[in-house]
Amino acid sequence: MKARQNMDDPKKHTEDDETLRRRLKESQHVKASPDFEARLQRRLNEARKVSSLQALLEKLGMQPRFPAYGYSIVTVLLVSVVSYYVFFRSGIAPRQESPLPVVAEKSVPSAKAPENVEELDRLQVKKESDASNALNGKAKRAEEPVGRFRDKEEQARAQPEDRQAPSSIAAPSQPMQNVAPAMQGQLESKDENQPTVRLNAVGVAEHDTAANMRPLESATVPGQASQQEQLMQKQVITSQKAVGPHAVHQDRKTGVTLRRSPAFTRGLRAGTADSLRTDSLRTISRTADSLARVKRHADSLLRLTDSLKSIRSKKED
Amino acid sequence: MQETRAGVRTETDEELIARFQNGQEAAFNLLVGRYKDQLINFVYRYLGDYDEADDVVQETFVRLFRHKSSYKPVAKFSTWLYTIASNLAKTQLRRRKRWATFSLSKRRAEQDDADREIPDATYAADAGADSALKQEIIQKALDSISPKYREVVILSDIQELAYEEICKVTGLNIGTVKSRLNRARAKLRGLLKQLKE
Repeated sequence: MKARQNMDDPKKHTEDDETLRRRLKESQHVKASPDFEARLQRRLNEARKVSSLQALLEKLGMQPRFPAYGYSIVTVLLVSVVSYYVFFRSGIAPRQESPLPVVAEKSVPSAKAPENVEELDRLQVKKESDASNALNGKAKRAEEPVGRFRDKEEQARAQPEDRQAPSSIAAPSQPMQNVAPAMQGQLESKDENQPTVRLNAVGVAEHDTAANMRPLESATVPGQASQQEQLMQKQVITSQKAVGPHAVHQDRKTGVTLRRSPAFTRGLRAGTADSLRTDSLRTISRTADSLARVKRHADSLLRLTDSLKSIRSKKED
Repeated sequence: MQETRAGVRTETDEELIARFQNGQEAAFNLLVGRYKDQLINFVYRYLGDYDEADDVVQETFVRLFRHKSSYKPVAKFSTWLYTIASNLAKTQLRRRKRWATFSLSKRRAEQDDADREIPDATYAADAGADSALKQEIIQKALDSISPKYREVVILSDIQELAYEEICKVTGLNIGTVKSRLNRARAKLRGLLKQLKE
């Protein structure tokens, strides 16, 4: 109550204020210690040392915020050094394209198709038979019922003849299946270039019915098969060269002929291109084999019907 | 230059700081001598701890030494110095609240307060004890009010700064200063009533 009265009364209010102010003013003032200035000087000397460093940084054009930038720069440098030693020096380098396949050929093959057609046919037959026997072992066994119908002597005799008779070669009109388009075109072009040979080969196959009934046989030596495959690969390469111009150049240092891989394998690694070539060769041989088998079956059926007719006619007579 | 009653010309604060800005460290020492006691008293009343007040005032002068070029003769030198001291005292108070610690030296400081304060010879011996008690009561009353009221009342009633200077030091407008002053005085009046009785 008394406090409210004091507050309401402005005179009393000011009197109280004056009293308070006087009391506060008269209160004893606290003073600094005697060694205040000495301690201050020591503190200033320490500050001078720090400020000289800042002045130096300012002279160099760096702002006082150098420590923050410095830490980030150091961190970046550290990370780059560590990553360099971890990724590049340890041998983990990015994959490089495979070098050009070196084909050690002493003589540059002719641009045209090989003139020795018979040799070509022989090689092709070899290739087809070898590929079919080496890769399709099961398929060959499946064909045995056909082979059982003939004598073993005829089998032994017919071996060299089989090789000569390219019955497995497909007719020109029949398209090759599962063959890479480039290779197909090359083979077809070969066929087109040598139509007479193909016809001859077919004619021989027709006549030699007995031979056609025999299953395809070839040298079953695996080493020979691989050598023949290599020969076929070389031939494919030459045929590819025959079709279109591919970069062929000789290495100046070694004198070895370097051939650029075909267009459809360019950009692929060497292993992939080789596997593609091998696969395509296999496919060709399989297709050829199957077609030959079909033809043989057809021929054998025709012969059977002929023989039956002759027998019937004889009986009637 | 100021003229004292004895006719001795003394340099003003602005002249001293100008000399110090030109590189004369003697002017700085003179400024330290002039303002150290005032600042110690102000900061001590604000914080309530002598060691902290000593540290704050030391830091104030160090900053004056480092950033002497930042003073422009637009405002009074005392205003600029009080502003630095006030800001550092507020920082110290915030730090104290954040890191609540028990100061071993505080007890000793409270006991030795009488030694640090140079006793006034005009006081009688028996009045000395009474004076110390009154000081303690006043300080406790100041500690019990809010820091924003405490600052204003100390600057006005203890340091005897003008309203304009208080506005510049605190960064408040004159109306706010007066209202805070009234509130602070009202609170102190109630607390100090027992002293009167």
